[in-house]
Amino acid sequence: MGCARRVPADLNASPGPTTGPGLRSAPGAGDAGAPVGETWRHAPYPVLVADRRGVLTGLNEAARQYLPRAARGDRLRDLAPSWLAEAHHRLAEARSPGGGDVPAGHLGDRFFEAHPTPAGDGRVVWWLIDRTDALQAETALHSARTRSEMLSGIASTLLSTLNVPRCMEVTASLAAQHLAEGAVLIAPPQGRRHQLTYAARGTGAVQVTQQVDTRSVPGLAEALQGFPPVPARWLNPDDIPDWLIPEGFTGPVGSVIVTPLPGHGVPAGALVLLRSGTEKAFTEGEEAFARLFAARAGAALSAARLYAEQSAITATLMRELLPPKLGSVHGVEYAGNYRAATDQERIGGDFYDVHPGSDPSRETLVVLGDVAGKGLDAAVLTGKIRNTLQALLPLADDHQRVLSLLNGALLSSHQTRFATLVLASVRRGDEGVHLRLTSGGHLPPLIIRADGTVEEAPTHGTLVGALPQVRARTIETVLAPGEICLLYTDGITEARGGPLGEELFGEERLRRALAGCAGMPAEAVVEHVQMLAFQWLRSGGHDDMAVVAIGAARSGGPPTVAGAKDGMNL
Amino acid sequence: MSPLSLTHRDTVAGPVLLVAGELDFVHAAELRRQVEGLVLHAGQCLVLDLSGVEFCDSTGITALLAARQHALAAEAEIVLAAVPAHLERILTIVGLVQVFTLRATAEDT
Amino acid sequence: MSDPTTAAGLREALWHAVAEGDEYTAVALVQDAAARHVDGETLLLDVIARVQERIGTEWAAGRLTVAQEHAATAINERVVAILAHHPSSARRGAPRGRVTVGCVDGEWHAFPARLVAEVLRLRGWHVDYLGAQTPTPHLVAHLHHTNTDAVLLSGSIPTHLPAAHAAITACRSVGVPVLAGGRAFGIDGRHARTLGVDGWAPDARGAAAALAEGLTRPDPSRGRQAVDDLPHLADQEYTMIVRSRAQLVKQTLADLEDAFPAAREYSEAQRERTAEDLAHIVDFLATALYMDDAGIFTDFLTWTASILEARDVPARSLTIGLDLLAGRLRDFPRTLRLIGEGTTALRDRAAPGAHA
Repeated sequence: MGCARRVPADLNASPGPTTGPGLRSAPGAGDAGAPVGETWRHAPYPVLVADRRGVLTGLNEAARQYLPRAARGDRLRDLAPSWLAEAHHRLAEARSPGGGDVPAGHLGDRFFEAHPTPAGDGRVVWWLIDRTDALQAETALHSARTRSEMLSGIASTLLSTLNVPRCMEVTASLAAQHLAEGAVLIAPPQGRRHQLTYAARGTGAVQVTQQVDTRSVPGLAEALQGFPPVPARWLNPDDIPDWLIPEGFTGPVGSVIVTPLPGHGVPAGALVLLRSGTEKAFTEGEEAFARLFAARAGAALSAARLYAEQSAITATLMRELLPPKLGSVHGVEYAGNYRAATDQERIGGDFYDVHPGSDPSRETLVVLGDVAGKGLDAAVLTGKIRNTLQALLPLADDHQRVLSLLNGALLSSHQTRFATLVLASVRRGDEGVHLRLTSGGHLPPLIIRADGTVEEAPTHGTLVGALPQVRARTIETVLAPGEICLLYTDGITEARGGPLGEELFGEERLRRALAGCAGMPAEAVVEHVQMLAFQWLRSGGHDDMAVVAIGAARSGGPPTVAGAKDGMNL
Repeated sequence: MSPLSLTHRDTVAGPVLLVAGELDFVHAAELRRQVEGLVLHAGQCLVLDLSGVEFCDSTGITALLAARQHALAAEAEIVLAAVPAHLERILTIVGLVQVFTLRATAEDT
Repeated sequence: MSDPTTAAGLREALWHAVAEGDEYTAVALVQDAAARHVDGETLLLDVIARVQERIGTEWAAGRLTVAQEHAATAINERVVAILAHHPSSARRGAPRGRVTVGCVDGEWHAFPARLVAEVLRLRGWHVDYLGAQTPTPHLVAHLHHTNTDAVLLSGSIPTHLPAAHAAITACRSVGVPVLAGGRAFGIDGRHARTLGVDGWAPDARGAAAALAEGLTRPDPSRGRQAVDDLPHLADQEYTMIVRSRAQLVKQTLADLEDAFPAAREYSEAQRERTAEDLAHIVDFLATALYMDDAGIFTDFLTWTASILEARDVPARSLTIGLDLLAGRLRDFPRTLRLIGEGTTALRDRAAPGAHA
């Protein structure tokens, strides 16, 4: 009975249904000087009349239903709930209805607002308006809104990550935050071990992988197979094994829910929710909400798993297609850089490879090329070309023969794309680095001499994969210490942009830039060229771009440490 | 950037296609489609007048190779006429100057 | 003579080696120091990083050519890579956590990010280093692949701030906190805060300390968008300037030739360089509009003026460029205000010759 509640005053201020029609038509209402009439006796809701001292002077039939033992002469303090008695006392003291909240509280099992009408003789008529249904509706609305807000927040949090372990952490943490004091997510077994994610309210999620007996928990093995959840009341908290208690959970376990995380076709795992003995047990509504939560979490986890599987497959397939990392081989520096046409992809129609000679006296073969077109289709053909060239390595003494054989292989493979490429055979000699260069329809290599002169290697030949015969001319040259030979694809020179927007970067601009690169290490030249092309583009779209620099080290051969050439630990 | 424009006329020797604009990734397929729709008879000569080509990339080269394929299949000849300097450089790089017959103008016979 | 047993001595010796492009000596110096058990972090931050700073200031002062600057930086990078593979740098025991280090898309200055990555490795973190100019889609894909605790995003040039904002928003929307660093974010990190990062650090040690303290994971359910952080973008001035950039440069170039007949005699190369300078001004102007921060624009102008004067080029051309741009941008009040502040900053700066 002591459950008092105050509702905001503006409810009172607004005329209409909230205050009840009876108030306005009630005699004396709005007329503080008038004596108390008799109409109130017939009002369809409870009415009490009390004098200044809080003594009951009258009550109607409706009021009597709630206060059957009340009689005139009783004190309000003894017969009415305290919230009403106190409201009367406050009003009597203040001698005015006063502002502020409308007094409200329970009378029996109903909830009332009490609206006073002071009469001229110091008595007060209390009109009690039943607000039980409104209150229930409000409460229900509030909790439904809270839940749907919570669910939509949970859904967007869950869907924000496509990383499986992270998604499990998020699920367990959210569950421990919103549904229970402790939560454990049990992933489907991998071999005989399960990944377990624990969370207790107020702590971060913890993951371990271990062998556990899922049959030791009633309903868990079934949940992992996707069977419907076991109602909480059927689970005995004493059956919960120690391994299922998150660190930081202040036991003992009071109630438990075990629910499957439904996935796409196969269960994504199971969720165990724990409440301690001091916390109230799960209601049916809460169980339903937990199932809803589990459905969202299961969908998110399945999406993350699917993404992980797909990207693992892609990564495996792509490994063969990605450009290799370059470094120093037999006293010659190699550097390369590649950027695919779209930011979404890492591979495309350009490629390069460095095949080291079996010993420093043997030539190293460098290949850089460009397959017509872009994207995955072009990349697949680059893979084919790279494999064919690898097989043709023993014949690399004769570039023309290599190109002819490659041409034949491409013609017979029934694809319509052609490719252009440059072959460079490289060997360090006493007086510098010896190069044999052959273009198969590709942009001729540029050589940056020590004095800043940029030469175009006068090699030319036919593209491969389109015509029955290919011809090519091989040239030879020597790089002195500090000189660089640059192989590149037309993605660089056909970069469109610049300060005026639509211009091609062009060979001339590339040569001018290279003239300033004399004496730079191979890596720095490659980076500089890529940077210039990108700055030229700004945000515009572009074709695949590949650059390889072959450099004669300045003195005595660069110092190397095993692995130093691939500084990135990706 | 100007998109591709193709103008077709017939002469006694065979069809002449005036190609102007950009032979790039976006537009080269259009040339390919037009050429492959041309009816060629044995002994005729297909002339591609390239004087108006402003830009050509590898897909443009693919289209030219497809045109050559189409002509050879019909036992006809193909001639590239009025090739601008920048395009001639590309044809030289990819080794196609020896493969195609190049001519100063479309009218020359 | 420098004593290569102290940090200062090592610094001096390394500076001479990289400035002369002598990779062999540079690597030997650092390897010797590591063999003598000079602390790895000291080598990275008190020797190599300081030498790298000096490379930048020497270039700015016109005492190193672009090629020398690139060569020196490349050698310094090689030195860091070799140090990273030195046995003394190997991590002992389980990692403290996993972090991703990368540069903003379009950012080529990877050196600061590389140093941070190496320092964090030395401090026991598992580091995924993504290198220069990481496209945001690659960065996000990486976050989905790895259960990363935090992203450390490096930026040196302020014009990459809009790209940085996209990266920060993307990382945070997948629930990974971002720690920003580098000159682009302002010396006090104020630009980082404007872009809604979870942390900012002035240097590698600061970044390590911030990570050790722990970053709070952002709540991804609050899908924030660029305009939530930067309500002024609603005036569309940034968008308009960026979209009409080439047109704007072209028109301003034409205006320049109208106003100054001498400009009509420019060679093709001179004309292109002038266009590039104008494009640069427009880029910084756009960035200042994006961030609603005049300092970005005025700092760029005064810095450029000093670079020009170090090469005996009068900085007056900058003011002329601003006047012409203002003439073309009459309808953009916020832009005009920024240009006005730029002109004032150029006028008020110290008289030429005040710098070394």
